[in-house]
Amino acid sequence: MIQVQDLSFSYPNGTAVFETFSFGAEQGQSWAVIGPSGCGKTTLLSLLAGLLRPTAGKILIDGQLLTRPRPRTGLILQDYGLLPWATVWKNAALGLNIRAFYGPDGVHAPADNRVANKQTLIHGWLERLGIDHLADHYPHQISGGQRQRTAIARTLMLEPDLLLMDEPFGALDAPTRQDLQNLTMQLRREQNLTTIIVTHNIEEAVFMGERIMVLSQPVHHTPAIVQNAQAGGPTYRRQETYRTRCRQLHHLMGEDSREMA
Amino acid sequence: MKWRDALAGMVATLMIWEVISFLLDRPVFPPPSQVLVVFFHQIGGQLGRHLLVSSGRVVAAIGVAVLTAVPAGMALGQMPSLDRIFAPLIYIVYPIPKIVFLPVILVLFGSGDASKVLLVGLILFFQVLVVVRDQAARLRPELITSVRSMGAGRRALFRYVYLPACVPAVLTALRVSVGTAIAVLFIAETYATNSGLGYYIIVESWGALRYVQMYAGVLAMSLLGLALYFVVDGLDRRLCPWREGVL
Repeated sequence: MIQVQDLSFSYPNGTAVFETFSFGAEQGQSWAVIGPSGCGKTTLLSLLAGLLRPTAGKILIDGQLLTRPRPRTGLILQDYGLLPWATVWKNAALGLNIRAFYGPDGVHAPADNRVANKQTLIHGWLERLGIDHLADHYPHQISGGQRQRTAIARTLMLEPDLLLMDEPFGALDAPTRQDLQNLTMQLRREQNLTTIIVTHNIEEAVFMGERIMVLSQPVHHTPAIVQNAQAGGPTYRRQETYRTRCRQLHHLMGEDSREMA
Repeated sequence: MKWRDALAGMVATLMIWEVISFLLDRPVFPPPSQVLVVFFHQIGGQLGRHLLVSSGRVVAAIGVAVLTAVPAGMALGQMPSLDRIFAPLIYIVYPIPKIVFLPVILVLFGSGDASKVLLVGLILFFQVLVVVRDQAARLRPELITSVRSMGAGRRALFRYVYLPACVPAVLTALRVSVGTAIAVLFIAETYATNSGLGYYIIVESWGALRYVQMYAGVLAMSLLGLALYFVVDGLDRRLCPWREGVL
């Protein structure tokens, strides 16, 4: 699904983040990328989203060379992703409207893009995310969790095959965060999505990443990847493996593992 | 401001006016009871015609200013390199009272409607330009990124992000500058023309010592300002319902 080959990336000011960096992700896998602030994890996500161009090397997604944002990649950010002047309904419809604006041109929208009934589709997704009763509300009138549910609905109704998330639940309180983590993992399974979540939260990475990429300070050459096959299961948080994995990550990231005990 | 409040304010103003006029007892300050008679008598004729001409000029000026300043403001707001070049220019021209350009504009564009529309348009242009530019520059990069990730290119970003984001800014600019625009139009209409409220008030009335008629003209001018304020306010409520509670 994703092949990153000898990727190099430096910012215009010369700061190098990646050098001959390679990794690959299979269709349907869930990945978490974890690391301290400034380690380049958001940069990696922006590169995978096609919002930044590699300085050297290449990124192939679904066998295609990535040169610009691709229609089947969904992106969810921590906040500010919703239009403040549009209702939940209109925000949810935004992606569909943009596709209708361009038509199925294969560049801005998938070439096979056909939506039979937009209203039903939007309503179905708002209902699935439990926010259909908020359709007429504006983003500032709803909670952070509900805003992220809107962002998820908007992204998933575009039928992505790859979902990229940048600290999507970072601004939420703990119960809401867990709730949305569970929901995302459930939807991921239902839609057979490949997901990559960028986070600085170890517990989130362990719950949401079947593969966890640990980044330290740049420049990055070879990614450290932790296998975590049981991730996302409804009972995973209560299992011993989960706790072990969290300790392992704390250790890998150079934190005091006693904090976890 | 609601219609009811505006009406109450108007009644209060007329009452104070009536009292002061009674106390002064001078032809130069006639009571509103006389002014209103002339106003209603002439609004269907001469005064109405001048009011229409002035209204047309202000609306045309608003149109010209919005159509030119919105794209320019968006371009400057989104392209810092362009803004660096133009910002000093804008700030040098911005504080100049645009009425000083009246002689130049009269020479270049004649004494017809074009020169008045241009002068008033110039005032509104800078007001709209600056707020739209600041609004466009303030848009969060996360918002742009997330809309781009849904496939939006420049055209869709303009349609779904920049344009709706700028509407409230444009309306705010109009709300604060329509008063100045009418005031400047008034001055412009007293030179080399024979139509408009400025002409009616200064040349036809004041010049002929018809004070009652002069105040009827002033009343028409204030009603024009009030009407424009309500139009802008109505547009704001209609186009930006999301602002209620945010602002």
